[in-house]
Amino acid sequence: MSTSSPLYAITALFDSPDAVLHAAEETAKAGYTKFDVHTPYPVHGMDHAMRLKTSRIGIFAFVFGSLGVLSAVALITWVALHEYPLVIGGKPFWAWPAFVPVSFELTVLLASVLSTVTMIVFYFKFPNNAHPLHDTPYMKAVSSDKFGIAIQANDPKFDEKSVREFLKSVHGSAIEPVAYDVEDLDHGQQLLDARFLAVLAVVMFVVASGTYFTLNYAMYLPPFDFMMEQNKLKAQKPSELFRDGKGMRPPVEGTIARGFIPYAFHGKADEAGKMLVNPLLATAPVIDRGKAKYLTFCSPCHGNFGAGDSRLRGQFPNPPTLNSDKVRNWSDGSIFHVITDGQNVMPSYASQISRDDRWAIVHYIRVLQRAQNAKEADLR
Amino acid sequence: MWDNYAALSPITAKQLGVTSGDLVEVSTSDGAATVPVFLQPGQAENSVSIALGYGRTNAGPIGTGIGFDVTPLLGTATLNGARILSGATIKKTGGSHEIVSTQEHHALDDEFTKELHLKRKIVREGTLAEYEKNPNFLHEEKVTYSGLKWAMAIDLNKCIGCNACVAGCNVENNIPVVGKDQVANGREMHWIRIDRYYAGTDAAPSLSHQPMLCQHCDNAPCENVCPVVATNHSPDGLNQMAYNRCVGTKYCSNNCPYKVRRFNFFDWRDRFADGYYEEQPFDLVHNPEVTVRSRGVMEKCTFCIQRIMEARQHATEQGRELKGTDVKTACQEACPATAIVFGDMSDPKSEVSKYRAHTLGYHVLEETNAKPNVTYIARLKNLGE
Amino acid sequence: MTSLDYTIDPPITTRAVTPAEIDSAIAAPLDRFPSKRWWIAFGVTSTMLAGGLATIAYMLYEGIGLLGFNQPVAWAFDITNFVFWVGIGHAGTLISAILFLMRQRWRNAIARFAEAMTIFAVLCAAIFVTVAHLGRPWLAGYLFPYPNQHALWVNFISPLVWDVFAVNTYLTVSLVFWYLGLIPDLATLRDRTTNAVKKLVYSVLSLGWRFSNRHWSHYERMYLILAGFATPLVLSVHTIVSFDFAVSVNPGWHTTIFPPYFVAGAVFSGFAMVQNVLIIVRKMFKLEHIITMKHLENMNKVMLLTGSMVGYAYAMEMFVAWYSGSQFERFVFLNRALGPYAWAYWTMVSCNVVFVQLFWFKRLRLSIPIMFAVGVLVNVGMWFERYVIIVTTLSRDFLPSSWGHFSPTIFDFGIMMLGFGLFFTLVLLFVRFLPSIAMAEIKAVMDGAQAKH
Repeated sequence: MSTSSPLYAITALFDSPDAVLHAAEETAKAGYTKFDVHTPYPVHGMDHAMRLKTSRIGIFAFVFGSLGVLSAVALITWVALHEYPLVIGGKPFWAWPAFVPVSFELTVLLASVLSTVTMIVFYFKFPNNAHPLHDTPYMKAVSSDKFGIAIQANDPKFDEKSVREFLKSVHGSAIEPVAYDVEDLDHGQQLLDARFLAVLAVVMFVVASGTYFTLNYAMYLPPFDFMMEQNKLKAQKPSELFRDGKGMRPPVEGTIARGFIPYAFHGKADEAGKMLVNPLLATAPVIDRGKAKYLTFCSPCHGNFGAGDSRLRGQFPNPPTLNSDKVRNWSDGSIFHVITDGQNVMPSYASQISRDDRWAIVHYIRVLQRAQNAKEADLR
Repeated sequence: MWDNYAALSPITAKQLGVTSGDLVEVSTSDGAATVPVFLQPGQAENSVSIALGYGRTNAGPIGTGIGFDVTPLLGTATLNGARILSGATIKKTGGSHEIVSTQEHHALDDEFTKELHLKRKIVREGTLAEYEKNPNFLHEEKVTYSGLKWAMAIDLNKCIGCNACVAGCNVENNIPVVGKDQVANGREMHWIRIDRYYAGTDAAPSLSHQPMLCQHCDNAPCENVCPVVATNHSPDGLNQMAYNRCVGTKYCSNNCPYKVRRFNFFDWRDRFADGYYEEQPFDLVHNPEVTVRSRGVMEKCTFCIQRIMEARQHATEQGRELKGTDVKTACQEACPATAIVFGDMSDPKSEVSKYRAHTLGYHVLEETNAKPNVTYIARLKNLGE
Repeated sequence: MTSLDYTIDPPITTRAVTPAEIDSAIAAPLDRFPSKRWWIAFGVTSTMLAGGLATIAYMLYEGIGLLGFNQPVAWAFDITNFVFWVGIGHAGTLISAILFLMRQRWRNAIARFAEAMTIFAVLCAAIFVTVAHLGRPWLAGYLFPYPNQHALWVNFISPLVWDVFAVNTYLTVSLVFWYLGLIPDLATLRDRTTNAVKKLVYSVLSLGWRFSNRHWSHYERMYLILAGFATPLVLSVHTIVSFDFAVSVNPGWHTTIFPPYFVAGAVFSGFAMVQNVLIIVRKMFKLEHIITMKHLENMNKVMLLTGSMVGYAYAMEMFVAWYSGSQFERFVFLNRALGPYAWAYWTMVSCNVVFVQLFWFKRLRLSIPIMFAVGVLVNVGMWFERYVIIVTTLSRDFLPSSWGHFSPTIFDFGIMMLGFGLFFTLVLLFVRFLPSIAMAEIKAVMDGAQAKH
C-alpha cells in the first residue's frame, strides 16, 4: 500500500470478545460514529455497545410477503375469472380453498428471496470486493479468530494521532492504518470496456441463435413436433399409393353420392320453369336464410334490392333489374334454374349455394319484388 | 308468545328510543295503557298494534294477570266499532317487562346472524320474474349447461357382450394396436371395453358384462388434478382432452374411478411390429378427422367429438340448432342390439333422457359423486323360476 | 440485535479447541488433495449418476414406457422416488430452521451439512418428477404459469401445480438460506487460501463479506426471519406432496391423516439419511470432536419419536378404514396387509416401526454400527412406504375389471440409481469444495466465544 493513497481507517486487533466489546463501548462513548467492529462471528451485545439501532429488515420481509400473497391472489383471480374461465371438475370458477397452497408458497418465496436480496444489495452494497479492508492482515485476522475495530478517516472527530492514542488506551494491538487502493479508486466507468462488450456480444449471439434454432427447428423434430405430422390422409392431400397421386378418390363412374342427385334440367330452362316447384314455405326463417345468401352471393351484381345496381363499378356487366315485370312473371322454377344453371354472362351457382338455399333465395327475390311493387293492401 | 305487547317497527322504535321489553304508555284520546314494546319488522312505520283480551283480572289460575289490559285505549265509541285508532301517542315510561317468545332468533341488523334461514337454505324463495325466466332456478347446479348436453345410456338387458362397439370405436378413433407384450403389461388402448365379471360357483357360474367407457362425469375427478388444464369440460357437457396441452403426468388416469383413460407410453405406431403402422397404406386407415396421438399423451373416449362437430357444422349450414339425434357415436352405430343410446339429456323428450329417468337406470360408483353421464339400465335375468 | 443467547448450554465440542483449530479442521478437506477413499466413493457415485443419466437419455429417445408402470398403476417408481427424496430433504430444514428457532445449540455443527442435503435431495426430487415421470418432459414448462398467446394458464386447483410451487419455493428458499449461511465461511476461506484461483472463486462467492458488525446485525435478523419462513414452508411442502394423494378420490389415498403422517415420515427418513452420511463424513474427515456422539444420539431420538408417529399413523389408517364402514377403504387396507404386495407392506412396517424401537436403549442408541444399520433400514422402510401407498392403491381400486399389477423393469432401477448417484455425487463434491460445517456458527457457540457479562 503506497503511503500516497488516501487513508481509509486506523485498525486495531483484540484477542477476546470481552476486550472488543469493551473497546467498542469506549469508542462509541468517545464520540466516534464512523467506525466498525469486525468479528469472525456475531458477538452478543455488540449492537448495544456500538449503539446500533435494531435491524429493520423485517419490514421488507413483511412488504415482500404481502406482495407475494397479493400477486398470487391477483394472478389466480384474473386467470380463473377473466382470462380463461374453464369448467374444471364441476367446481365453481372461484374455487378459493384450492388457491391457498399456491398463495402461501408465493408469499414465502417472495418474502425470503427479495428481502435477502434487498439486504445484500441495498444494505450491504454487495458484491463489493474492492473495499480497502480486503486483503489486509487485519481482515485475515478477523476472518479467523481475532476481533477488530476500524475507526474511519471520514469520521468528523478523526485525527490520526489521537485515534492511535485512543486505540492504544483500550488495549488494542497491531494498530495499523488502512489506505484506499488507488487502482480501485481510479476504475471509474467500465461498461464500455472492450472485454465486457465482447462477452456481451458472445452471450447475445449464443442466446439469439439458440432461441432461433429451438423455435424453428428443434420444436418440430419428432417427438417434439406437437403432433403436426400425422400419418393420416387429410382431404385433398396427395398419396403415393394411387397412380394419379391423389389421396381423395373420385366416386366410381356412374354412381351418385348420397345427397348429390344431379340437376335434371341442365339447359332446359322452359321445362324447369314449368316442372319445378319451390319445396320451401315462405316462412320467416326461410326468408331470413334467403336474405343472408342473397346478400352474400347475389347482391354484388344484382344490388342489395335487386335493382341491378352493381357494386362492381363496371368490372362486370350490370345485370338487368330483378324487379321487372318479366322476372316478376317468371315461375319460381325459372329463377331457380337461372341460379343453378346460369344465364348469359351469369355463371352457375350450383356449387356454391346448396339446393335449399337457392330455393330460399327465390323466396327472398319474391320479397324484394313485392317490396318494389307494394300494393296498398300490403301497408295495412 | 306470553303476554301481549305493543308491536312497533324497528325504525319507529329507534326514533322513540325504545326496544323490546321496554314499557311504554300508549295513549289515545280515550285513555292510556302501559304495555311492553316488541319489535316487529314489517309493522307499518308510526303505528302500533296491540292485542286485546289480555290483562284479565278474573280468569282463573291460568288466565289471571297475564299481559296488559288495553281496553282503556278504546273509548266507548270504538269499543264496538272499528279498532283502528289514529292519533295515539307513545311515551317511554321507564321500566321493562320480560317478553318471552318461542322463537327468539335475532335482530335484522346483526350481520353475523342475518338471514341465516336463507343462507342455510331452510326457507327457499324466489321472485315471480325469476321463476318465469328460469323455472328450474331452485335446482341450479354449480355449473349450468344451457342447451344441449350430451349423455349416453347403455341397456345391459340388450347388451350381448359382442365387442362390436370396441371394434367400431377402434376404427373410428385411430386406436393403435400395441402388441402382445404391451397388453401383457396392461397397456391396451381401447377407449371402450367390455368388463366381464363372474359370480356363482364353478359348477353354476353366472356372467355379467358391462361396456365401460369414459363416463364424462359432471364432477370429473380427472379434471381437478390435471396441472395444465389439458382435460376440462366443454359447454355441452363433454369431458374433453387437449392432446397438445398434455404433458403426461398420468394423474388423471390415477384419479379416474373407472380407469378408462389410456396413456401413450410409446409412440405405438412406431413401436408396434417395428413401425408396421408407418408403412404406406396405413395413412389411409386412419380417420382423417381424428388426431393420431403421439407418445406421452393421455387419451380417452371423446363421445366421438368429430361426429358432433360435423353434425354441428351441417346444422349451422342448414341454419338450425343442433339436435341430440343428429349424432350417432361409433359404438352406438356398431351395436347390433341397439343397446347404446346417445343424445341430448337436456331435452326431456329425447330417448336418452327417458333412459336416464328409467327406474332401472343407475350410475356406476354413484358414491364418489362424480355424477357420470353414462346411465346403465340394470339387467333383469329370467331364471325361469 | 436478536435476542439469541448463545451462552447457556454445556460445551458442544468434546474437547477445548480454538477458533483457528476449527477453521483448519473444517477447511482441511478443501485444502489437501482428495484422499483415495474419496476418489473411490466418487467413482462409484458418479458411475451410478452416469448410468442414471444414460437411462434418462434412452427413455427420452424411446419413450417413458420403458419403465414398468401401466394402466392402472400409472405412477410407480417415479413418484415413489420423488416423495422419497422430498422427504429426505425435510430433515435439513428441520435442523437448520426449526431447531434454530428452538435454540438448540447442538444443531450448529450439523446444520450446514443437513441444509446441503436438503438442496441435493430436492434437486433429485425435481428431476424425478420431470424427466422420469412426465410423458413429454420437454414440455415441463407448461407446468409454470407464464403468459402465452393461447391465454392458457395452469390449473390452480391441481395438487401437481401446488407441488410445482411448493418444490420450487422450497428449493429456492433452501438455497438462499444455505448460501446466506455460507457467505461468512466463504470469506474466511478467501482469507485463508494461498491459491490464486481458489481465492478468486471464494472472493466472488463471498460477495466481499467483511465480518462487519454493522452487517452481522442485519444478517442475524435476516437469518431469524428466514428460519421463521422456512419452518411453515417445510411443513407445507410435504403436506402439499401428501395432497397429491389425499385430494384424489382413490381409497387408501383419500384420507385426512396424510399431511401430518407424511411430514413425520419425511423428518424420519431425512434424519436417517443425515445420520448415515454424517457417520461416514465424521470418520472420513476426522471431525469426531466437532460432530460428536451427542449429535448422533439426538438424531436417533428424533428418529425414535418420528418413527413412532409413523407407526401410530399406520395403526390409525387401519382403524379408520375399518371405522369408516366404507367397503372400498376396508378392502384397500386389507389388501395392503394381505394382498399381492403384502411383502412390501410388512417390509415397511418392520423397518419403520419395529427396528427403530431399539433406540429406547441408550447403549444401542450410542452404538455406531447399530444406529447406522437402523438408519439404512429406516430409509428402506420409508421408500417402501411410498411404494406401498402408490402401488397397492392403484393396482386394486374401484373396478375389479381394471385391476393390474406393477413389476419394475431394469429402467426403473436405472432411474432409482440416478437419484442415489446424483445425491451422493453432490454430497461428495460438497464436502470436497465447500465447508461442510458452519465455521462461524460453531465459533459463536464455543466456550468463551461470547462476552461474559
